[in-house]
Amino acid sequence: MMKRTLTKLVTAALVAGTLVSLGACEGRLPTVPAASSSATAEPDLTQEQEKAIRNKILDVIEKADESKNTDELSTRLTGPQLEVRTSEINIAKVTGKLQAKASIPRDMTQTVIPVNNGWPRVVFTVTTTTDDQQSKRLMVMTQNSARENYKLWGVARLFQGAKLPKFEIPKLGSEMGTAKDSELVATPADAVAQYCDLLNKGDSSEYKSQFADDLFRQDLNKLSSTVQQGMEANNGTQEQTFTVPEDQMKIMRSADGGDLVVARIDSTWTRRAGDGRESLPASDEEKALFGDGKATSVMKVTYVNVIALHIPAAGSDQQITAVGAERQPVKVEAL
Amino acid sequence: MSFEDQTDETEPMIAERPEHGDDAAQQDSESAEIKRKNRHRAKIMRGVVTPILGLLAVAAIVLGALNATIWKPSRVITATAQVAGEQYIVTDANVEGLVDSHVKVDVEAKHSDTVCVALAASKDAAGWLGNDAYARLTGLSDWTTLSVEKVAARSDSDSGNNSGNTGDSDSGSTGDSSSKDSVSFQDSDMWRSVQCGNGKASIETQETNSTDVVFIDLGKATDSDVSFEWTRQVLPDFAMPMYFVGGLLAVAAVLTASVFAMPPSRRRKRAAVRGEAQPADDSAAEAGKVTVGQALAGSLSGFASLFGPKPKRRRRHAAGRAAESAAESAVESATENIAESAAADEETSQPVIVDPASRNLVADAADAADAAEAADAAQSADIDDAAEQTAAEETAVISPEELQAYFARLAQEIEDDAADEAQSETVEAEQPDAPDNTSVEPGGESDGEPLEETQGAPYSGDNESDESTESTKEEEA
Repeated sequence: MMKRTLTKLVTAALVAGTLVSLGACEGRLPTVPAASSSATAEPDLTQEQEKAIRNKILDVIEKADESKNTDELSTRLTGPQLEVRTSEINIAKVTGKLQAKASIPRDMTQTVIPVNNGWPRVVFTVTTTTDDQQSKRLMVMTQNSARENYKLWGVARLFQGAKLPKFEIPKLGSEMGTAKDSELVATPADAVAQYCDLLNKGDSSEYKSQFADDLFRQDLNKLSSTVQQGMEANNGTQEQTFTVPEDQMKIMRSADGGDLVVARIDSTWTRRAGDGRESLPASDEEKALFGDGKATSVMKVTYVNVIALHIPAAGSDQQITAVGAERQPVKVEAL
Repeated sequence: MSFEDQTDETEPMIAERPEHGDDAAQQDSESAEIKRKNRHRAKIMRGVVTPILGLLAVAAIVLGALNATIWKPSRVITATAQVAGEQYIVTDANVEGLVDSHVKVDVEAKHSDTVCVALAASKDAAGWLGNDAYARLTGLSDWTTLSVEKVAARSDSDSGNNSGNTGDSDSGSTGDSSSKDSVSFQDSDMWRSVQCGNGKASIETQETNSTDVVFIDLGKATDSDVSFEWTRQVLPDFAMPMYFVGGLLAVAAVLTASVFAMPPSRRRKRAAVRGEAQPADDSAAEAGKVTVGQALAGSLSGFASLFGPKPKRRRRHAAGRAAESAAESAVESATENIAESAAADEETSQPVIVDPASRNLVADAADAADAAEAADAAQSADIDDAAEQTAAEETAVISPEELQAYFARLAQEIEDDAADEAQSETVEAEQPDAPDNTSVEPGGESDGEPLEETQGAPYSGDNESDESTESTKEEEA
């Protein structure tokens, strides 16, 4: 009987011992799963981040607007917009208040966030209409390198009734485009160059049929014909020259295969007054920029233009359409 | 229970079962051998296996209770690492949410300058680092330590960061910290959130993306302590499996003490015995002849023997015997009013088939009526007697009163035919009233046939007796 009891005890102890080992305290140590390079790319920013960035930029602009001080603008502005805003503030210094078109609303209706891993990165954001019913603004923000912050590169005022192409939702993000994107009606580089040609030559340009009519060109034509009448009245001449600077375009690929290109186009407007008259600034803005300069018979005004073009995908019957633009004199000089 | 009546029986089981028909002596020695083996098996099962299983069950449950209380896994896991001489520390992807999505990261540096910790997308952190050297936190080496790896600075070749747009500006520069446009770690737009402090910083988050990392900037490249504190929402449960195993073991212990201790032959035999009793039941040709209660009682009396503390051969035998006899007594009461051969046939296994449709109850009633006729004087009393005789045995379905009334009526009808004018009124006046006799049909009666007993005639003789009855009637008429 003792032997039987002993056997029983030993068996029970052995089994209990094995059961104890199962009662480990914390469980299994978690291991790090292999980082899967996910097939679906992540957007570079969350919507909260984009909003925070946009608000920081607008804060800087607002501060500069109110203080009429352009020193701090370069922390959050770059490219064409830096020049445009500097000019606007300088004008406001003279005229006393900012131009109406300079206002940028805080709220946005749509944002296009890139998924690209590298730099530079571009974000397109469309604001709401302004308080005084001006059209929406297309804000272009860029991050030049990882160590830099996002800055406002360009703002184009969208034309009334202009239709933007569709983009992926911000949670998914969109691809950035390049100047040489194929599978379009024209590469972005070509499209901008052609548009510039169109601006230069007007109706006699060979590319006229490729572009839909737009408000920018209409306004320009109206303006120059008005000035032309004035010029002819006193035997003066005028000419506008548009040039496309190198690498000054930001491109995002839309969801329907097209591209939305925001490009900078520089232009100069040279007005020569005839009959020995002086060529004077043609607008309040030019006057403010010209300041106390001494007018001569030749006046040259340098403009910064920002154009937003929608290039449809190859094979579609649509024309390239300008959907927004901005035009700002930045320098007035008497030659 | 009826089996208890047998406890004082001293004869072995074999002697009570002459029907197994083999050589009794041979049966004796074989079953003795079997009995010994069964005893031994029962002893092992009940004496050894059951206690072991019981002990294991108790041990499992105790362990389960311990795991639920003392050994409960801790809810807060804190893992630390010491990183020497690096300015930047980055976790690998998925490390941030390794134990739980609720995590708090503390960093403490050996200097007192600004220390920052940020939550960032891994591609943003990689972009910021560029080619700089940094330390990687790769995971948990055990529950309290983080594992650290160092990555050396790389040369300024294109490090594959720029997979996207290279169109408008220089492609390679991502780490040019001397550029006038570069911002401090704290001011960068890229981080999901960032916290800074002097010499130490901490950040806390509730949800983590699998591609997010924790990115630490110490300012100066010095030694530092990094600790991750996870608060687990879901704790591993080790108690439940233990309880389950304990329950299973307890069930197994009970089974080995009862069912498995029984010798398999006994289990089989008991079923065979009950099987034998069944055909006898069926031969009654009535579905409910043995009531449910009686059958259950028979089975339960068999099971009741299992739960005795010690194997008692006699009791088991008695129980078997009792089950057998209980079933049989139920059968007996049902079949006794069939032909004597069936009622007495415990021994034979031949089923007795009784076909009620082939009974001629009219002829039986006529015979009863004849018997009544013989005692002419007190007719109602005679009819009653005859009816009582014929309905001597109780049947389960038809009460004796009904039978009596029916036979009385039948007898009366025949009586009327036989002795028509003279005594009809007197007889009718004395007839017992039984309105429900109409439900009792001669051809469709599903009962046993009490008439046959008095008659004793074989079934095949029905038609002949029918004819003879009719001819008798005709004669009488």
